[in-house]
Amino acid sequence: MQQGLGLGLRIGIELVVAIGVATGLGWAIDHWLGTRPWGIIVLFFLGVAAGMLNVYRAVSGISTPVGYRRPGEDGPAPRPSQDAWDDDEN
Amino acid sequence: MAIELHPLEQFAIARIIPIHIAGLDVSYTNAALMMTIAVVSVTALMVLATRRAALVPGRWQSVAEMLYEFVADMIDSNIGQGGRQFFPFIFTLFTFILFANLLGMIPYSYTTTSQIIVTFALAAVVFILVTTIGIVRHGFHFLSLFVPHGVPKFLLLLLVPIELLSYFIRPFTLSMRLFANMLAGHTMLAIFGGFAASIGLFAFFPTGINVLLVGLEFLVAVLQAYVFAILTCLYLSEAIHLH
Repeated sequence: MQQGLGLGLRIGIELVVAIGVATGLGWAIDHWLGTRPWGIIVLFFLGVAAGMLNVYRAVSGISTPVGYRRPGEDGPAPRPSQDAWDDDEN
Repeated sequence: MAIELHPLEQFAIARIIPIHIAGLDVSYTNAALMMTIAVVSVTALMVLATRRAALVPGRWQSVAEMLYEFVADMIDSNIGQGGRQFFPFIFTLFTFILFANLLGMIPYSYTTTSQIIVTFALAAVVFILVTTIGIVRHGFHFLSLFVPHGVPKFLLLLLVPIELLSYFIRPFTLSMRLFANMLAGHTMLAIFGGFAASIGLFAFFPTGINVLLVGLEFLVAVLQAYVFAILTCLYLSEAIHLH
């Protein structure tokens, strides 16, 4: 339960901050390079995508780290144990 | 009569000992004072509790041992192998944020973690540490983090910038989460407190809400310290166990 509550509070802000920071970055790039309005448009959509990706990862148990599962959930499935009748043959 | 409400006044920084070095204002402020108190009280708890360590722990020793085991469990279940060497860092981070949050719940004290620069500094330390460890351990291979497996080449053109962005946004989400939660919670407490002070007869209603909110704030204070620490664990785990 503790983990679920932590997760719930975590993902709320993930999307908002991703969009906010990306759009701010786009604005800054426009400001420096004089490419208004393209930087802000492109980075806004990239920010939306990154935010959704982060939320998806946080929720789907792949966890926030980009693309990797938590230890314990990861790795190949445990090898099925040998059948019982194999034991006394070797 | 009108009572003036200043719900944001509690976050004002006040210089206690003004210090100016080479035109820089490095005064010792109330925020710095609360950070000092947090560090001193964590240290005092750990040192005093384990000074006369007994096999059957007393009250204070139990508290210290519970804190230790909580963080150790968190590291074992989230980083796994090779995680224990980061125990001092994560334990320091967790207890500092926990104490800073909880000390802020004392009336008339100051919540250090409601300052974005404090939480951002913490998050930046985590981000730089994780990136450095990733690069030191894996070298150039660390960049494979940004290239998803099994994706057509032309899609990489779109996906790599998204992955990069979602990586570099981490210090911002990490700091914003803690900062926004503490700021919002304490502002809300002050607003309902202000209502109670200004409406006279029906004050029991906002006061009742405030009682509930104080409970919620204690939960948030502990939970946000936990979330900060567990995300640090996950980021470290990713940098260590890069595939």
